[in-house]
Amino acid sequence: MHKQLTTGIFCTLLCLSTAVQAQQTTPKFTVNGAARSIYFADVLEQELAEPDTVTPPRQNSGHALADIGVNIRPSEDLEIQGMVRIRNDFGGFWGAGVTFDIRQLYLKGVLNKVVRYQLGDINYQLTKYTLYNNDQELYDLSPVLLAHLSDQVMYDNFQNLDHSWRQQGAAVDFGFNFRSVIESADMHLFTSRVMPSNFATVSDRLFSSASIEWVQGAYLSGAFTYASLYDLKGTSRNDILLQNPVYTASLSSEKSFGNWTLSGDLEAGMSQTRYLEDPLAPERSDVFSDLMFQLQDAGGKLSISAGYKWVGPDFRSPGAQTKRVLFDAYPAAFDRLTNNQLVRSLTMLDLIRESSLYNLQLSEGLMVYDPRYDNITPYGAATPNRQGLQANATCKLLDDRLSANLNGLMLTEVRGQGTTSYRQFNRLEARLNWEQESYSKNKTRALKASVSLRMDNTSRPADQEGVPSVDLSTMIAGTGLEIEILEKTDLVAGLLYHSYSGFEFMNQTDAYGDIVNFNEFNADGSQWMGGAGIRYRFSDQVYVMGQYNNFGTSNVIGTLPAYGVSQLALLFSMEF
Amino acid sequence: MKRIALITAISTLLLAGCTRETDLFDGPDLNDLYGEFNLLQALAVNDSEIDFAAGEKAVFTAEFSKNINWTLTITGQESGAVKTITGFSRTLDASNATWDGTTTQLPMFRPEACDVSLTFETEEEVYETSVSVETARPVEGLLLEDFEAGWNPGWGSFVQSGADMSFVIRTDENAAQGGSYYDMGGEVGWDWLIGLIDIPGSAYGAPTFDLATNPDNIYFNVLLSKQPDLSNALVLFQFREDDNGDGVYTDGEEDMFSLEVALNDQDGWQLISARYADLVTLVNGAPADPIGNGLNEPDKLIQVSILMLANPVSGYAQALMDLIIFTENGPLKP
Repeated sequence: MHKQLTTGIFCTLLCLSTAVQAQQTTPKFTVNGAARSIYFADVLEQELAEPDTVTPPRQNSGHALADIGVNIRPSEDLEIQGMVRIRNDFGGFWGAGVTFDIRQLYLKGVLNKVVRYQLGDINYQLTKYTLYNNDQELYDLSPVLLAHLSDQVMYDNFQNLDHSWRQQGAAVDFGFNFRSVIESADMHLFTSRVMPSNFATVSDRLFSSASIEWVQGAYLSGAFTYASLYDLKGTSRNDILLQNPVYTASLSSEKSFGNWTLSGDLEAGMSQTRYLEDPLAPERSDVFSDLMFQLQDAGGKLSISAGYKWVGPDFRSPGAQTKRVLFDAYPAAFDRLTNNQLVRSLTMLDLIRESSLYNLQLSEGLMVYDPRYDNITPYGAATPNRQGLQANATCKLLDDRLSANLNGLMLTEVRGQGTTSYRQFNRLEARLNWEQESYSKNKTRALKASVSLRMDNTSRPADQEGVPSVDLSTMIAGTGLEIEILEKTDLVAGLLYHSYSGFEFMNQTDAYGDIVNFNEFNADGSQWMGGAGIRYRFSDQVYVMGQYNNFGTSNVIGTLPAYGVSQLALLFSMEF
Repeated sequence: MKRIALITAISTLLLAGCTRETDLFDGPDLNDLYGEFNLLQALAVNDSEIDFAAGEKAVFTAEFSKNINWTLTITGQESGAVKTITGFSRTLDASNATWDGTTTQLPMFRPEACDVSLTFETEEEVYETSVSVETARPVEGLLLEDFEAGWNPGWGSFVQSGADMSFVIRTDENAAQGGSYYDMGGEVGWDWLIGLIDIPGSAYGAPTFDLATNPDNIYFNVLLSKQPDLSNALVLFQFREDDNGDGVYTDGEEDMFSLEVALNDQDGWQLISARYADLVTLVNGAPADPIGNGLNEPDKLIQVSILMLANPVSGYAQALMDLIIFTENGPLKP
């Protein structure tokens, strides 16, 4: 009996030991993913002389979805990830409205412990002038209350926080170490298929890049990057082939002086855009240069940066200039208003929660934008036809609980549009964030508050009698509050306000992007969205939230009446 | 610190190379779209009496305060011929406002005084001047007939004995070119054919017409006029070729190409031009297999026939005809 007991204990310990060992090694099979359930109850309110008897004033919508991913590691240097999305729109019973999609599929590994590779779905990002997925309008100024909604849209459309573009293709990375001149150099090769051929008029369109990042020492590094969007010859019967290569070189250096570090970053390059075998197409070529100096204290309390940029009017970089939002699309909710069923244009309500308005793929040429949201950098840092000063200052105060950020842009055009006079672009942007781990003396209760403000102005005086002057001013202000009222239970409130007024010319372009005419753009109105909600955090990755917010808009110019949408949103979100 | 200086130096060089384009702009000139319109230089012509036969041309000049869509209209006071020249510019000069005597709307100009007006798409102002045509612009090509010198004695004709027959040359203000034209009309209740004209090559000094060999470069041109309230006239042009070179056309063995024109659209004169290579074999108005070697060979053209046709039950039919001419390298520019 004693011997049996001893043997049993030994076996149990052996099993436990084996289990512990197994936990310490990377499991060969794991399940990951995310799940979400969201429900919107909307009520439309219109300011009309006669009641709208056509448009239903209430709309309810919602869905539940699960992204179930399987990660398989057949060996230490090989990984396979597949993810299936199961979605069920509320109201779709017995399988109706249920969709199954492959959301992610890739294979990656390391060859001979030297060459990393990945095939399939790849999130890829280069520099701000070659491949960079710029934030959508309003996003960085939105309070957390509304960000909870737009985060779902971003997740659905693979709009990642690292500003990478979701592509399907192959990537290879490898590096070298050197004994002299430079310490190391890393090579990154990437290619993806942006658009498939239809074997007749549309050729396969690829995006390929090659970059070398080198480090000379602790204080100097740089990179050469080549990125190109191009049509593959022979994949269709269409002889016209797009070629849009971008070449850039960057240099970074830093030097410490006591408690301060001075750093400099430079990126410069050029682009070419041509359509082979198309005698009507123009050939564009232009350059850019972007220089920033930064002075930062050792503790990270204060940082000041300033620089100068110059982006030529014909600089075209599809990887960096493609927009997230399709501004020529129409909203799904309340798409028509009034008894005359006037088409409703996009608003902040739609930008924040409408997933179908977002673009998933790189675009040739410059996409449509709405100057009311951003007329200065509609295509991010790589917005063409801009030159001037850029400055930024950040500081942290009160034991890092208060952080402040100030941005400024003073830009002008490089080449006039319709006149030899240049537009002037001025931006002032300020942010204040307050983060307190506990506002209560007895219990741990977190408090976060934020205030943000962006003021833009575009102007161009009229240099000829009868020609209207350009003067468009916009303001976006946001404020948010998160206060933990019970353990893991937060009161979340926020307000986003956007106003716009003035006059601007919008470019009307031909198929090649050449300006053929100007459309008058008059703006005078505002929109706002604000509310409050309760959030319960099961963990850092799982929460449930109910929020009520109100959207309103009024336009002095235009045919649409002032209207608003009050919205009750219930959201359950988890990642695993 | 040296490295920071290096970056600064490189940046300075790069930015120095990035210069503004002070004299260029993208898109149309906003001044053209919004600027005030003024006439800076009055409408004028380089010569008020133009001798087109001597190679002279009329050059109109004017200057405005902005680029604008303009239309210059020249109207013959006697013929009613109209020439329009359009453009988008802020000046009228030899590059965009030169008149070589051609016509936009038939009839053709003849020696006469002409009114000239300058109008604008977006402005109400009208500026006027005048010019005199001393000699009309000569047309180039193998002229078969313009009826100015009467009936060609080498031609043959057949006219049915119907009612109100009028196969005659008329001289009046209705001519499309010059002062005379040919009037074909009548009512034949028992046959489609009202009358015909045979134009043999021998009428011009040789069995075949003096035309080049390449059918792609040879154009047959004729001016026809539809009469008001009459939409039943059919004019059939037949082109007989001497394929075997024996000096005669052998019916049923050699090619006969055709061009059929139905005058049932707009009233008035119209230019009919056909590339010789596009002429086809017709049987009762429908395309058919060639009769001879099937090759369009203008240098072997031995006879041109003009048949005036109409449905026998349609009543009186009439067509006016003027300036029958072959041209090379393009249709006739009237």
